[in-house]
Amino acid sequence: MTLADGREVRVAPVGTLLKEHLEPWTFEHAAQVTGLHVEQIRLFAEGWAQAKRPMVLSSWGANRYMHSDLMNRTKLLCLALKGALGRKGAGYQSTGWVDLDGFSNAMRMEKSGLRGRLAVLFSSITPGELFNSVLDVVRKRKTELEATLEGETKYLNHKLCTTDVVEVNLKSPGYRAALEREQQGLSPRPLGAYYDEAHEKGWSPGLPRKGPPKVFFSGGANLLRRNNLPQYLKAYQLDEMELIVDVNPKFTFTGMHADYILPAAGWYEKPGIKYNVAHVPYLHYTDAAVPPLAESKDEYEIYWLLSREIERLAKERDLPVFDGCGRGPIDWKTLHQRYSNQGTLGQKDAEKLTEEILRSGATEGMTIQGLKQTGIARYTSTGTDVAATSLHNPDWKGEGVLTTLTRFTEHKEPWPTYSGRITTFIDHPWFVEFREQFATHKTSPKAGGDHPFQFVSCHARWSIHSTWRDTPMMLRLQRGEPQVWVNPGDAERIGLEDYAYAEIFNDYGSVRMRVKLSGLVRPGVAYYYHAWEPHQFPNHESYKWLIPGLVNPLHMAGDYGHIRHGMNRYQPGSAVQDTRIGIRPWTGQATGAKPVVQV
Amino acid sequence: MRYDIPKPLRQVSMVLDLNKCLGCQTCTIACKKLWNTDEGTDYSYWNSVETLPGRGFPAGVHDPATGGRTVEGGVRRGVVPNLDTAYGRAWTFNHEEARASAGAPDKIWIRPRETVKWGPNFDEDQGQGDYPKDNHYFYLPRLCNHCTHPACVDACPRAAIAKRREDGIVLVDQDRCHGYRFCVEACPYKKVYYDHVRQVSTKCIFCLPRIEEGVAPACARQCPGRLRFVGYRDDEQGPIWKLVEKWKVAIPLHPEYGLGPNVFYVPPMSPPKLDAEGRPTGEPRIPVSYLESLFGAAVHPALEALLAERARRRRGEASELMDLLIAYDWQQNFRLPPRQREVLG
Ligand code: SF4
Ligand code: SF4
Repeated sequence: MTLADGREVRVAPVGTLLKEHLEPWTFEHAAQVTGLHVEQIRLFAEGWAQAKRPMVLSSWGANRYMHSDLMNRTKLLCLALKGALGRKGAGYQSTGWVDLDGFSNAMRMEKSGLRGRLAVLFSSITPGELFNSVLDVVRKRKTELEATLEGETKYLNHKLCTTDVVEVNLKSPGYRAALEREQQGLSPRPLGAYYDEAHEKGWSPGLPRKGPPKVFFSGGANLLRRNNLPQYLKAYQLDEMELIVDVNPKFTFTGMHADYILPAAGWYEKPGIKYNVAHVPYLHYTDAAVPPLAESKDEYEIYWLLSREIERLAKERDLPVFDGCGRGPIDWKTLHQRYSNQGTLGQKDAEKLTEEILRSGATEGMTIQGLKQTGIARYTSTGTDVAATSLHNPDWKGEGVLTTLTRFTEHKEPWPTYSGRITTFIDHPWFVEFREQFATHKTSPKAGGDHPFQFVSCHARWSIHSTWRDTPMMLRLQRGEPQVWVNPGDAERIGLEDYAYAEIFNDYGSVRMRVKLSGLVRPGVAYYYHAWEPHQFPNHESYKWLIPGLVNPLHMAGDYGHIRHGMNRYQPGSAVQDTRIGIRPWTGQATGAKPVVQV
Repeated sequence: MRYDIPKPLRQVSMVLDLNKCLGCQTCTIACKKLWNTDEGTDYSYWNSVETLPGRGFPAGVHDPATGGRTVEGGVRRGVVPNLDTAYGRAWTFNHEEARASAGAPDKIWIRPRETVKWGPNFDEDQGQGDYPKDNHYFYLPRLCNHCTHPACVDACPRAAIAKRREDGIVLVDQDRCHGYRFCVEACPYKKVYYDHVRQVSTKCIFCLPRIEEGVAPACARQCPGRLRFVGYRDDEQGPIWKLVEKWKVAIPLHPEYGLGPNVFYVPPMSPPKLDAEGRPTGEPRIPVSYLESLFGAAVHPALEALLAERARRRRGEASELMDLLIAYDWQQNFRLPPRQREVLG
């Protein structure tokens, strides 16, 4: 057909293109790629085709490969072909959260009560913008969801001083060089080129901070344990800090390298709510079973005291208002006033804050008193369903099956894609460049070098991440030291006995772990339960020193329907599961990570 | 039998559905934290969870003749498990030294101070078979069976162990106990432990202070798999009677020991083995002969009943058994009317 500018183009329906694209993917071809037997694949395919209500429950573990998005798009394609999305008992259950609007209110409020809540609303959008938004909705130019989402995105990307680890890592030239070396040839252009383009075009919000940070303040995390290639994080960022502070219930590896540790109360020493993924639709309450040990305090209280001190010092020194992270001015002279909602929240008022969080659409009728009695309470709706959720069910009122995505199926709101429909086709320029317009298979890149074992991790049974990871009672259930799980056949071939030390090595150096035999492990895979603290390894270097954590540039793409940055929704991650290692017996040889490459 | 063990008025009991056990050891820790944090019992686990096929806890517990009864009904002298190689010592750790070495050139890492030879859960997830054709394992949570004919009671020359009249819970009177360890030796399930500091025997008390209040034992209450049922054996409305007597899918471990356990297991069904083409065969991965070595011949009808009822449910028909085992309403897993609290002298 002829375009308005006179150019002749050929047009084909996406369905036809998709069919063409899938043509080569016979069972035989799939068997070759996966190593599964043709019959197994056929059996699965037949089962899928016959299933009345196919459902995929896809958790975070599904997002830890370089090409996880292709895997997930494939699952979605299979579901879409069955018409299963947004249908009762079928469809996609990923790790959606029930959205607690009260949480974001409580976090942002600087005054108590309705005035505080209204101020939050206007802090992210001006009254003019609000008026236009309402007009858009009334005139049906936008759905209510789209309008709210816009406000939310604006707040997250332009107001909140936040960023992610990939951004932090790539901001450091040394770390960035290491990753670029690792990812050479994995994409048409070098990783950094995409990073730069995404920032130039505003696809990635980045962190427009004005100068290098001087203080590393860690709370609710254990970054030096968790980051991939921590040797680079340490050499290029942490060692440059003037001050490192760790607020933590646990004496972590990060804490070991901090100047100050502010001990936080343990989980059963402070009241609090926990909310988890939506396929367990309950809010959980934990009561304080015992008072905090020694000088430890509830985090709320720690920050209350700390903000008061900072405010006092700021006033004393008459600090100017400044814009530390490039997202607007912050006045430290009023820090504590704002934290304490102008003094209405006292040092021990953590529960008042919880009450504010409970003013959420999804927690109607819940009170702290009630939660103290029952421990859990079922959500009363899926919340405001704005960002960071894959639930989108406006009808669910806490009863019966929670079917996801019905907003777009039963309620016929347009999907937030470019076409407004379920789409399998993405012709964003980067996706075209990567030839990933349709979901396809791409081989897992050999991160860390060409070594025989794929190094795959899983959440630990004996800890919640690194919490309790080194607790003696839990260590006694797992032989006391970090273990690498291997298939008994592989171990025999290498000459490794159960419980022997093995040297795990790749291009970044080597670490030592105990061998654990298990029939659950696929040959060619070396498996580990994550979150061992580095100081549980010789040299205080964990396997993280061997894991580059690949970054998929496509996750920085934007400005295309649903392909746009959203905190916890669409942002680059650090893929660990593609890492390759070799394993050899340890007979006393020195192990250790190679020195950081200087740039 | 040396002592005429009086029949209790009622017998409290537990059923564990092995098809639902995750091997998370929440039960183990729930129990340990509640009852066994003393120095003398640091190595002991009134509740333990084993990976089977495997060596068990203590190692070798499923080997024949670890204790129990002779065919004549007398006590068979068994073995006292070795602290290092069968139970595994409660290793201590060097956290402080490790942290102190953070800035030093020679780093000390956290590790057990003692030589590690065995421990609870030592062969976790090892199992048997070849990936992916027939690799298999399952978890077996174990506690004292509060046996109808307890070998531990018979073995004690001091009559320090007794079965409570009210509920059949088997208890050690630690004031009478002289620490001879005949009970440790005699119990083929190895569920009496010796407190090497206080020098008396200790064993699972079925959380009796909780039972008296009508609350299920900690291992059962905290089980995230919701696979434990607790109640009285004679309560025909309760889950125990239904699973043990009515449906006959819950069967005791090692019935050949002749102790009449009051803890019962719903044996594990398993996915089929694959043939050379990767196609599922009709044969379960866990060999039924192996299950028979644990649960005796009763495992056959139990598995048949389970498979038949599961097939019914899949066809969309009603099945009381499957509804019970799914535990839609978890509170129904426990039927324990609170009793007058006994004052222990
Ligand atoms: S399992 Fe062992 S300790 Fe428990 S009652 Fe039976 S014989 Fe005694
Ligand atoms: S708590 Fe329940 S699921 Fe976990 S190991 Fe024990 S019996 Fe199994």
